[in-house]
Amino acid sequence: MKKYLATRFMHMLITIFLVITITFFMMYLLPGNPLGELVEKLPEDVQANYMAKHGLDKPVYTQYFIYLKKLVFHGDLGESFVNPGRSVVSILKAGVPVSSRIGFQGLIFGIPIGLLLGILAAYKRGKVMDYFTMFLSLLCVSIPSFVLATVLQYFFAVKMQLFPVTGWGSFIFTVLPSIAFGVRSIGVHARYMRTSWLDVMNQDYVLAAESIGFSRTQLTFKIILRNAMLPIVTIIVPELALIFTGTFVLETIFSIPGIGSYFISSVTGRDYPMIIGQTIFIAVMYIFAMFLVDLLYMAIDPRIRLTDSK
Amino acid sequence: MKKITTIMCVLMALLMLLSACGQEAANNDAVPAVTANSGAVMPEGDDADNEVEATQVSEEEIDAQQFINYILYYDPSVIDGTMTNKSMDAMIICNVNVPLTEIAQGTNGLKIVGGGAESWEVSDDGLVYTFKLRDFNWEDGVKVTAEQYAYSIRRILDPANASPVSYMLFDIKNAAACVKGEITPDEVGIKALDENTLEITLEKVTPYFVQLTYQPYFTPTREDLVNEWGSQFGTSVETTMSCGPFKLSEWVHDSKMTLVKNDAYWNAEEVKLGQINLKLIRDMQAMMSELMNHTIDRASVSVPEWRQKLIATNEFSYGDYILSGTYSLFMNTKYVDDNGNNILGNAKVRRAIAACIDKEEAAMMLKTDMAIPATGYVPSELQMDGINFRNESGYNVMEAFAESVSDPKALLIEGLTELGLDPDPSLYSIEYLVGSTAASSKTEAEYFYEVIKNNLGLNLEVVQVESGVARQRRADGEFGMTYVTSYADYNDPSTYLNGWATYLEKHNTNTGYDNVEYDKLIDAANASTDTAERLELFSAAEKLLVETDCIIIPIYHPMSSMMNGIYIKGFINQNYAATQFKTVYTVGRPETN
Amino acid sequence: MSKTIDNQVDVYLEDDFKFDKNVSDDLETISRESLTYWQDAFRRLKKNKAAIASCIILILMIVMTIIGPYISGYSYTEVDPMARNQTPSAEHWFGTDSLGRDLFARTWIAGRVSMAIGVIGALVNITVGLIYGGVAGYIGDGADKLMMRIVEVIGSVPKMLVIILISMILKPTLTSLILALTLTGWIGAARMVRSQVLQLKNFDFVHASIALGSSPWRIIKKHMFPNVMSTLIIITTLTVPGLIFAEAFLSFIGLGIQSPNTSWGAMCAESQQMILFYPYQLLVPTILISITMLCFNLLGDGLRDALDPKLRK
Repeated sequence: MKKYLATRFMHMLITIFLVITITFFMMYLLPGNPLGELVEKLPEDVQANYMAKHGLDKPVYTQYFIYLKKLVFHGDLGESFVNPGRSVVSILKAGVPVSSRIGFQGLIFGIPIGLLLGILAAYKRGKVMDYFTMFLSLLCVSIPSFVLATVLQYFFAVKMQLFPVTGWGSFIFTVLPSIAFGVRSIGVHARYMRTSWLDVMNQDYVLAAESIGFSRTQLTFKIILRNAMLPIVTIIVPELALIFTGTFVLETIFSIPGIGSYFISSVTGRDYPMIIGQTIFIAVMYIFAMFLVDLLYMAIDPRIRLTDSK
Repeated sequence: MKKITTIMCVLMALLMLLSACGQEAANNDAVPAVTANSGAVMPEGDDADNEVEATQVSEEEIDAQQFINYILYYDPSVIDGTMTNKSMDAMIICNVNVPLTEIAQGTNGLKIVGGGAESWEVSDDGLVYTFKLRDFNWEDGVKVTAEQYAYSIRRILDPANASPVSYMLFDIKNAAACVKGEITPDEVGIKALDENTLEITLEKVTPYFVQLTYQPYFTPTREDLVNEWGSQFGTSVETTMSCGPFKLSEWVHDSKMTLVKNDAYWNAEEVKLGQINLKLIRDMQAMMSELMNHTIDRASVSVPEWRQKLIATNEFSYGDYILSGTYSLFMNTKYVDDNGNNILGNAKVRRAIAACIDKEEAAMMLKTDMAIPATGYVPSELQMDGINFRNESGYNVMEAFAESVSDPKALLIEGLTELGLDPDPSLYSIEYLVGSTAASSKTEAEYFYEVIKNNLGLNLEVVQVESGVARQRRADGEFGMTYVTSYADYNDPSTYLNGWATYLEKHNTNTGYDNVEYDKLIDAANASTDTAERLELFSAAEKLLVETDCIIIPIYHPMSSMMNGIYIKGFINQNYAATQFKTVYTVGRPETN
Repeated sequence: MSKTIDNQVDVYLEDDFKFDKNVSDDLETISRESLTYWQDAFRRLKKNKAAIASCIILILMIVMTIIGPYISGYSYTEVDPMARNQTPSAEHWFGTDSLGRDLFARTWIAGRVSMAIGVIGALVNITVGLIYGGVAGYIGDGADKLMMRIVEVIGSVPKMLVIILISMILKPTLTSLILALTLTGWIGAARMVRSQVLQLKNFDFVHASIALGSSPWRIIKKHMFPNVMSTLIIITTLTVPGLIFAEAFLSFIGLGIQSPNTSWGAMCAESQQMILFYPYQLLVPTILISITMLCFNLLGDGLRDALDPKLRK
């Protein structure tokens, strides 16, 4: 086990390193530079000064190694070009918890409802309940998030004034965006759970267990649930790890200071340190999530052994 | 049977949704259309309460709690007049700091009054300005001195700081050379003669120079604090020092900012607002909704449907005014299409394209009633030496084309024949660069696509890229046609016309324009001090740009409706200086939960 | 042998028995014709009324995207300053947009793009995901680890960056858009497939098959594939709208389908800001996306039920 963890960790480092490198060079392939709007009016000399100040006048490889050196030896992700004086780390520290909160609350709201609907549909297969729950889950998935957010905002915030229209602060600011986020996951999880549950329900070993004399509850929780969760785990874990990446539209509509808008604006604004900084962050979360998923596989299904061959 | 039930449920839900939306038909005929007002000052649409004299205020029942909820369009990058030129930053800077001069409401319009400076005078040769500062202090008690104003300028021009506003100061003696690194900042034409006297020497006579002194770059900077806070200067509440009517009390990045009254301000008794709450709102619809609910007190409304809806509530006073900006199409004379043809190199072809666009229809389609069709490249509101450029010049490009071109398509064919090319317009395709990622830009582009197709038979190949890429391509001349909305940097036609001189090393939008005549006109106009002469020269130059050589097709001048709740008083409507809050107060603010 | 009943003697001779060629052995066995897996699946699918209805609706929609733009009498680019933002009426069945263009024609032209992106994109994602995930899961070991690491790298690189780069290198057309959308989209399918295959390969019937000497290819084709199908179909049915929304998101930020073409996603993005004034402009494309989704899902459910060997009746 220890050996597995060690090699896995090594792999993670290599992956992150690859991601940084690829992203770095892709970034520089993009035309344009961080000056953005300033470019238009600045005379050549001032532009040259600006580039020199940020080290952008050096060739790409040099910049790459300077960046790596700063990162590895000082743990310094640098300062944002577009927002002077703010370090990449401080921007991430401010924005990630905000986006994560919306995502997390949304999932807490959506996943259990979705899973329950899915199980319900599986048991009532072929009956009205099945079609109704599946129709509901379809609705959840087929409404684009910006439409839902706009509608929620209009009815509950603007018209009924139960919630603030935009902004961030206490819990009440988080309600509408969380709901808008979580609704989609109801649909997704309901459908996956229904399929997975049905698959497992009809397996022979379940029938065998039933005939042996397992009680309904034991059957459900010990056997079916455990096996049905496998594909769900595949999607839930990365979903949790990356909840802060899906909130861009909501952050725009509700004017929430999350990290989502930075994902887009840092690329369009060519804010190089910010792009790499958030890429590293996402890569770490993502890779860690993958790792967790693999561990969970082994825990849930003893038949899967990742360290030996078939 | 069950499947049918499902489908029935779908239909029911859809029907319910449809009926709910049907109640939203907002069609109010009783709303006044936007009227075009000329001049930079707008009377308030509802009650005529323009005068902000101290005497009148005390007669009204002003609210006990004086505060205002205002919009931040984006998170300010730095509260430092020397390192930023963004409008939100400027707004904060000019309210927590004090520029040399300020804009105030006069009886006949706007006037420039003293800010940090009590008075100023110009030397006889027009090259030396001497400002006498008043006595006032920063909030920590340190006196505001002329040296601090001088330090700001030097800081901007120091090449090591790479300040984005340095180009605005090139009228000051030696400024350009300093930025290039040829001389040191100390040799720049700005000097503190004593604690309260600031002397600025110009490169040459610049009639509009005083118009620059109310901008954020003419605010004082504390060198000791810059040294203490380093790169953090102006990036947080703790690293911002104020000497103005307000000071920063809270700053949550990407979310909100709070300013509170600065009791140490020299004119603190005149300031009525106790607090300014600035909220960052990214979505236009959310912004308008908040305005309607009065959780935001004032905003610029540029969507006609919202304007009508808000006016219909009778809870708003508003001023419609024409912005000093022009939305124009640009043609690249060096553009070569996929077949190697350079049809835009021929002036007749370009004129045909310009003439076939109906500016009134375009303004209406793109902006409904929130824009006026452009009569020239220089905005209709722009002034020159105190007179309205457009009115005095009398030039109207729409009329000019109506007279000279009766059949654009025939003119196009003439031009193509001149080039020795096949006169069938449908063979040619021009790349139309759209440098914006907004969905509305796509719609706008589709409009021009259709117009040019119908009227001339030419194809436009619409390419939508993000603004960073578009900027680069415009600067590099990698486009066929494109559009830009340009706003005046300052109140003089040179801000629009100087940029097209061919000897400039760089152009924002590289149209490959190359006309020595034009350069001569511009140089002469900039050297002259005679208003009538400048008027003539600039007018001639403009005519070259939009008619004779025709590289620019001005389409419309945008309008904006500044709307605020009727309980808000005291805002000065102008679009050259940053928004001032010190004259604002509220009377009869409704209770909001 | 003969039996004597009532002094009658029945003598059965060989000649009394004729060999009847028409009777075969399996007369006594209750069975039906031997069908292949696919024929069986198709037969069951035909019985599923919802799936068939969905199929018909989808075909109808595809037909509409082909002929729809022509039957209203307006072109989808035709601008009419007099007819801006009109609600649905007799002249304009779906109303008009802010340039006075007929929304009926525009909706069906947009449908072409959205359907193409959804279907082709989903097929690409599924195919690549299936192959990649299947191979990784089946081979296991080092190859699996390597392949999963590659997936992690691809998944971590900012998608925005990739999309913008692609839209700059290639001219923005439908193909490059599909490419940009699917470049990172197959990862989800690959991981799902891999997890299923990891589970399946430990089942007894697989061991048995190997013991009998089947080639890996045969095992994958005959055993893995059908069992993975059900999850795969659900993934597909969720990917199609996912792609349509992804394209809408790209349109939202301006990198979607280029003018003069449009898609349902782009129409949603354009009309979202004016939803309070002209809700029908947003409603129409949203409803169509929903109907498409509904049909794909019902069809998908039907396919899943039909293809799942465990549900054979």
